[in-house]
Amino acid sequence: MSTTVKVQLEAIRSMMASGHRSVHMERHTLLLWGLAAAFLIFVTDDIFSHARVPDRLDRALWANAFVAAVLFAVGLIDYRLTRRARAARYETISFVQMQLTKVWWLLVGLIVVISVGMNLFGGGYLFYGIVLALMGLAFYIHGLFSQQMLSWIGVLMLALGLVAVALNVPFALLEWLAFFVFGLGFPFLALVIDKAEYNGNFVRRLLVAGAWLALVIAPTAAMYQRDTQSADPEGPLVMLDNYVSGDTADGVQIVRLPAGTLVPVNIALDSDVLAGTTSTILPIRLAEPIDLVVNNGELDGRFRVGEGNWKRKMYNLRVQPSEVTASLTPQEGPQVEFKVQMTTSNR
Amino acid sequence: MDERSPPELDPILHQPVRTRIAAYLATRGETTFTELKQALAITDGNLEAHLKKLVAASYVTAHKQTGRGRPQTLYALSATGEKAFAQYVASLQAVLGEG
Repeated sequence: MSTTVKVQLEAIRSMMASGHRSVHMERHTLLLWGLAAAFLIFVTDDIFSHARVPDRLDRALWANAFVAAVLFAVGLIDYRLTRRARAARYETISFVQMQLTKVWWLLVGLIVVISVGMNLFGGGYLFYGIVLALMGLAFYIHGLFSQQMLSWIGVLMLALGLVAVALNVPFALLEWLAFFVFGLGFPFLALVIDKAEYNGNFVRRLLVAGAWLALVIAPTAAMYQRDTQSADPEGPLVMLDNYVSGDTADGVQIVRLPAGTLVPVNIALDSDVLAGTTSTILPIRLAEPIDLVVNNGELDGRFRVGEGNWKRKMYNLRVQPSEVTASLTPQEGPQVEFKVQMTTSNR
Repeated sequence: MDERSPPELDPILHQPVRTRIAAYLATRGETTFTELKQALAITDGNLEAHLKKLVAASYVTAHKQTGRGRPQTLYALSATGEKAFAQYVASLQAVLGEG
């Protein structure tokens, strides 16, 4: 009796597990979302550039509305294609899969909301790290109920996102990483996800995960190298005094600001407790000479400190407020201390 | 006590194929005939016969879905079936002293 009962219970457990694992991520889903995300990363900032939409709030709203509209369209197309593919195989979309689709949509919605928030309130340099971490989480959850390879790649994406944020990776580098994760990593995953020869056992999954990582890291590193190495300018070296006296030619010039140069920093502070906008000029003195590349009177973003390597502002210059403190003492009255950290490191 | 069909166990569900069908439907939700056949790895005739018994006992509902492609029948565990399946699993666990 107990043997029969044990066999029955084991059969029940096995079939229930099988029912739970009836989730399946379609290849077109990976292709659609990956290519759409890569497209958005590539074009959104150019379409809604500062020159086209000067107002910061308008730019944030239009850009995020565009991203949300594209993602919504992709979601609808994916939904229709998935239903069509299932119908062609005489399959239904399981209850678990429907719930996972809702989780996916919620995470995509969360990314759009975070994007709006960062556009309005700052912290944008963290954006792609958070996107990778959230998409990694979505893959990991999906993979628990379907193809195991998804969980593996999910963990990698989660790790990439978190490590990038923890190591303070420059925004432009992280943007390339996100671009290649979506633009190359997702289509690669679509190719191998349903093939047993690529993910049939632990060793194969390990190899595929390694290949996936190399596929997204290598082009990211190559683009970073290209951008940083192309920073060396070709043009005459002009001292600041000569440049400001107008004794220079057009085209690309390297303007040297000697150590000790006073640079006025214009600060405008706006607040709901201030009577209008308060502005002041803060003179800062350079500790080391800085060379700046000027192209027809406009800074082009390349610089070097002393005789160091040429760098690009987009990769190496970060200004972040690190501390705001207020005090009120009988001796000095009300005071606000605002500390800002500016780094030009090569990280 | 008869080992093959103990009186306290539901005779409809206490059959290996029907137990597996009910267990699969309990977690999978609505399922096509093709999916059930793949999951259970049995013949069309065998599956059809057991599904008929489950439908006749009102444990499983069946409805035709039309649309793009060939019409197909979708099977799902009914509320009666869910209750009977939960009771059946509890009975099995009680026999083993797990419940």
